[in-house]
Amino acid sequence: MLDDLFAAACDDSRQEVPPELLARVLSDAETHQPKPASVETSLERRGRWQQFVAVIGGWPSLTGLAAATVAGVWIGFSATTTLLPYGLSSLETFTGQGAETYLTYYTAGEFIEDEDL
Amino acid sequence: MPFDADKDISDEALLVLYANGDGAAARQLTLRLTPRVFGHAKRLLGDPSEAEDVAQEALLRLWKIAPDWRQGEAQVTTWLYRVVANLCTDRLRKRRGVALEAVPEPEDGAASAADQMQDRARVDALQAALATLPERQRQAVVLRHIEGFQNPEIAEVMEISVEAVESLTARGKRALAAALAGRREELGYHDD
Repeated sequence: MLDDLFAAACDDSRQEVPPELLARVLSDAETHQPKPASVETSLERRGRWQQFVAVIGGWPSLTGLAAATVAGVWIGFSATTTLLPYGLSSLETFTGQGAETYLTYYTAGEFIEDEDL
Repeated sequence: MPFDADKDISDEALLVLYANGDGAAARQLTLRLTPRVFGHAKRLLGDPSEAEDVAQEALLRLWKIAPDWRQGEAQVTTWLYRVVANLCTDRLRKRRGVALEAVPEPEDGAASAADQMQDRARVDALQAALATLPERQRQAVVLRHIEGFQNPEIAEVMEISVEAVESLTARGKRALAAALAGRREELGYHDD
């Protein structure tokens, strides 16, 4: 008998929720519901320079790139004495006097041969 | 989201969605949990209007705790039934001393078929018998035999051991059987 009664209680249609209760509960739910976190949706266009910085990895990368550039220029200039005995001033002789001066250096044996490097 | 697209989503997942501001989750949780909470409160209290208040209060507590809900610690329904039980206990204690006759009469339904009337008479008789049980026995019996919980779940809801649940339900059923013994004929049960 008890099992029958329990089964009847499970199926009891009078357990249906009054619509007013559902409305009140839903109203409470909406009142106390946290607001969704705002998502940044602005599509502000960045300038070309900012895009470039972003592409290479930001300011740290840019700093490294600048340091490498300066180092490259310095190495380039400092290395000219090994190639031209009188440094950059040698370039002037080529432009001013042509191959004659060059040959003078050559005959004097002041050029560094490749084998000596 | 379609009305019934998320039947497979767990209560806990819906609660997380609710806490993230999902309006559909709020509606789905309301429709899913309110009937269960209301039904349980009504069985424990025997009074629909009080059960409505308890159901609304229990769910209000759920909405408030949603942002801080710790996933994996407890099931949403377990937590809710525990809240309902506590709220009902408070109300029953306030009501203590009120004669059994003062408990609201079960609702009379509209005219219906004889078998439906008998079913209602049986449910009303069961409800009246449940009202005579001590609170804890009543809660254990309702959870086990009407809500369909397993003993470990009941133990979690009531915060007692499984053995204590078994003892409560056994004693509760014996008391119910005794209370209803005199009404067998009236409820349509005939000795063969």
